[in-house]
This record gives sequence, structure tokens and C-alpha cells, in this order.
Amino acid sequence: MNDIILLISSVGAGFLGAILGIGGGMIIVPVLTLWLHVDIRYAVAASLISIVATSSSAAASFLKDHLTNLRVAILLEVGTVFGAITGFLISSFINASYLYLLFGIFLLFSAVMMFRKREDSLSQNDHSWSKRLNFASSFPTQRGDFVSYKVENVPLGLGFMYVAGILSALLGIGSGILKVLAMDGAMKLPMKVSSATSNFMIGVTATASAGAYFIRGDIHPQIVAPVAVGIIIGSAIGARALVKMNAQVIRKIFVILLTIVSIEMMIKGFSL
Amino acid sequence: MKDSLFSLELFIAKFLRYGVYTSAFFIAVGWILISLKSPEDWSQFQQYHPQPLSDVMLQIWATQNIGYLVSYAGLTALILLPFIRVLMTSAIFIKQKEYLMAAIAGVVLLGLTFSFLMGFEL
Repeated sequence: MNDIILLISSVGAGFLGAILGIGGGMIIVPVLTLWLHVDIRYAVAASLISIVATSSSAAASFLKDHLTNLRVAILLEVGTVFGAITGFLISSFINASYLYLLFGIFLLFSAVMMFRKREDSLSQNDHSWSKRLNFASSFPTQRGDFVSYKVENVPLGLGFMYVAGILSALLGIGSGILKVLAMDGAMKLPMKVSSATSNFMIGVTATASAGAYFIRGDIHPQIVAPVAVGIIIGSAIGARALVKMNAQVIRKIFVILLTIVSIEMMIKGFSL
Repeated sequence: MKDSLFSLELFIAKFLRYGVYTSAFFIAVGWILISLKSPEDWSQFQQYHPQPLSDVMLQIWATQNIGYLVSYAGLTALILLPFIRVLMTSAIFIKQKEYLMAAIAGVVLLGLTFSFLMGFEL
């Protein structure tokens, strides 16, 4: 029965993830741990596999929109992959109760960030690394013309990505919120470019730690199969429903849910 | 130069999409086979018992549980997909004589390889 519950929850997580532009990890880890009482380390590993699946299958649509900056993505993947290695190392020594607490704090942070008014910037200053690696590019607008942009603060962005990688490996999340914060906050990339580039990178970040967890033996088909299959189905339905739904209302309800779950995760962390 | 990079990447991305669907199919079939053969026992996941994949594989081999083999094959393919994407991207950069970008992609590949190896060590 638990696997059917998990399959249905994962379809829901994939659906919500597609509508709200978040990964399913924030939803699926609490479902597994709080509801089905699975150890958080198995939950994190299962969630990472589902992130690899959704990110890899969506990469084509992100690229087709001409919004992803491939060159920026490749450089920043250096930060996230080495962050993921560090996160995996920490996970080998950290107590499960700290993972719950960290997850709870991250969910609260995410709830706040979902209400953040993102400022769309269009930088005219090109960082020396950006010049060297030819990062400046352009993206299409709804009017059909192209807008050029440059890239600032590349080393700071890389540092943020390292932290995003650590959190991804520790908590089984895509860290999209942190990646976007680094790209449009620090590197001044246009909002649409940073969202698309972040989504494109998430699969590589997640596979770094997912591979290590897999070889360590933390990935069990009975948990991973319903999660991965459910999230793939849910996100495919969500992407189609996106145009018909009022994402703003769903977002507000989700933020309330996120806050409640974050408190529950912290309580569980203290009780262990 | 950027456009040809883009169209090649798009080709890789489409390949990845079909790769995900194929590996998800294997994972799902394996899961159904496991469920048919053995009753569900979730209590084993409530406590963390680290057991290396190599041990798990030997156990599966001994019990001849095909469901596990099929789903682990799907999982392996899925985890390797992003690795293949970076590998192909670095090959494209080399072909376009963009050696610095190819080297950066190479560092990502090294990082990924290193992280997989860490699963054996710890």
C-alpha cells in the first residue's frame, strides 16, 4: 500500500513542481520521512534520482526556448559538482537530526524566497572571466526581437553554486532557488535566462551525489521507482496544465504548506 | 559558431529525453517484478543500514531476483545520462576548437567521476 501512496504523492509532487517551477525534492523528502517514516538518507537519495530524471527530460524544452546560456551553465556546473562532492562527504558523518533541522530551515528560506520580488536586470558590465569565456549573449522577447546581456560577478556566482551543490547532496533537492538567486542576484543575468540555465544545470548537480549514493547502496528500487515514475508522469501533466491554471493562487497555498512542513521537519529533528 | 553549438546541444537534449523514458521504463518494470515476487516490507527502510551496492548485487545474483536486476540497470542508465551529456558537450567544444570551454567541461567530468568513486570509498 505504501508504494501506491508514494506513487500518487509523487505524481502530485511532479505536477506541483512543474506548475510552480520548483523541483519535486522539497515535497517528496517530507512525504517519505514524515508520512511513510523512511530514514531521511534513503529519502534524500530517492529524491535525487527523481531530480536527475525530470531535469534530463526537460533539458530539450529549455534549450528550444533559446533562454539557456550553455557556456555559463558549464562553468557553474564546476561549482555545483564540487559542492555535491562536499555535501556527500558531510552526509557520511552528519547525524540524521541535523539533516531534518537543515531541511526545515531550507524550506522556510524557500517559502520566503517564493515571495521575493525578483528584479529583472540587464547588465552592461562584463566581468573579465565572462569576456574571456564569451558569456555575453542575447535572448528572445515576446515581441520577437533579441535583447543582449552581459554577465557580472562570475566568481561570486561560482561560490554560490558550490553552496547550492552542498545543499543539493545533503537534502536531496535541486537547489534551484539558490541557483537562481546567484544568477539573477549576483551575476545579473536576466530573470528568464537564469531560470532556464538553472533548470538545465540541476540534472548534473543531482547526478554527482546520486551516483555516489547509488554506489554506496542508499538507493532502493522499492522507494525510487514509485518516486521517479510518479514525478515524471506528474511533471508531464503539470507542464500541460500550466497555461490553464492560476499559478499565483497555488503558490500562496503552497507557501503556507511549506511553512507547516518546515516546522514539522524541525520538530522531528529535535525529537531524534 | 554559437548556433551550431546550440543545435548540437538540442540534439543531445532530445537524446537525453528518450534516455530518461527508456530508463524509467526499466525501473518501472523492475519495480513491478519485485512487487510480484516479494511482499512489501517498508519497515526495513525506517532505519539506515548502509550496504554497498556490490554486496546488494551479489545478494540479488544469489537469489536470482530479476526485478532488482532490471531496475538497477535502469537506475545505472539514468545516473549516467547527465554524465554523457557533459561528455558530448566537451566533444563539441573540442570540435569547435574552443579548448578552454572543453577543459572546463573536462573538469566537470572529472568531478562527476570523482564523486561516483567516493561511493566506493565511504
